[in-house]
Amino acid sequence: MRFGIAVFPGTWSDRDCASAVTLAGHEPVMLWHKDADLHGSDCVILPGGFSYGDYLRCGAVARFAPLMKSVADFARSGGLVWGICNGFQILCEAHLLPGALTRNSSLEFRCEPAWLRVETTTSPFTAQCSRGDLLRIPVSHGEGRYVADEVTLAALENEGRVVFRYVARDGGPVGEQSPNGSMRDIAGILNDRHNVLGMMPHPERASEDALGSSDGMRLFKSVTHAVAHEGSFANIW
Amino acid sequence: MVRDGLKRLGFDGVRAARVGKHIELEVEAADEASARDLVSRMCETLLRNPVIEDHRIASLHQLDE
Repeated sequence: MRFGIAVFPGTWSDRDCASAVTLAGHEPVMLWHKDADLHGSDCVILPGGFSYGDYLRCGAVARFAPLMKSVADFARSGGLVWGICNGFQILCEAHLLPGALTRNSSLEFRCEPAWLRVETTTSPFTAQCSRGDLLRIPVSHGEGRYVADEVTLAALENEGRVVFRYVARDGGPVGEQSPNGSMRDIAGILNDRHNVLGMMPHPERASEDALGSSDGMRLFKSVTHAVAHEGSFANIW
Repeated sequence: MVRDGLKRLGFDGVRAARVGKHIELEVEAADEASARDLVSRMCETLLRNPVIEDHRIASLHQLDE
C-alpha cells in the first residue's frame, strides 16, 4: 500500500516516517505542501516538525496549504489521515480534530521516552493492538498539552475516541511525570468516524529495536492490515 | 509563573501577570468601521484559535501616507 507523507517547509520527521513505512514493507510517497495531489495514497501522514516555522501558532499556517484542502476532502470521504506531533497540531487547527495543543505545563521542550496505554482498538491505527497494551514511544515537543472543553472531553471519552493515554512506566497513572500536562492524560484522539488520528508521540521513532523500541511499528502494521482487509474506511468503525 | 519570578526579584505588589500576543496590522480600508470589521474577520479566520484564545482590538488609528 502507499503512504503519502506531507512535507511542509519546516517538517522534520518526513524521512523518519518514510523509513518506517519502508521497514513495514510499504511504499512512501512524499507530498509537497504546494501540490494538491495525494498521488493515490491509502493513508496520509502529517509528520512532526515546525511547519512554516510554527509562526502565529503551531499548525495555524499549514492549515491553508493547497495540500491540506485535499487532505481535508480525503478525510471527509473516509480516507485515513494520521497526524503525528506537528501533524496533530495541524489537524486541530484545520478542525479535523477537536481541541487544541498548548504549551507544555513544564514550559520546557520535552524529548524523552513516553509510555502510552492503548485505550481503544476500534480504529485502523490500533486494530492490531489489545486494549490496555503499553507502548514505549518517544515524545518530542514544546506544545503538546491537549486541551478541550468539558463537552468535547466527555464526547471523546464516551465515543471511545481517546486512543492513547500517557501512563507511568508500570502502567499506573502518569501524574506529575506527564510530558506535557494534557487534560485526562490524552496523548492521541480520533475523529468521530475513527479514520483520522492525531497523536503527539512519534511512532516512527520507535519503529525498530535499534531505536530502543519497535512498539511504533505496531501502529504501521495495524494501518496496513486494515487497508489490506477493509479497503475503504467510510463508516466501518 | 511570571508574577512569581517578579516576586523573587523583589518586585512586590504585582497582583497578576499574563503573557499574550500583540499583533500590529496596517490595513487599507475606507473608514474606521470597515477597518474594524476587516480585522475582526482576520481574527476569526486565522489570527486567533477560538478554542484557546480571545481577542480584542485595543486601538485603531489612521496612519499618514
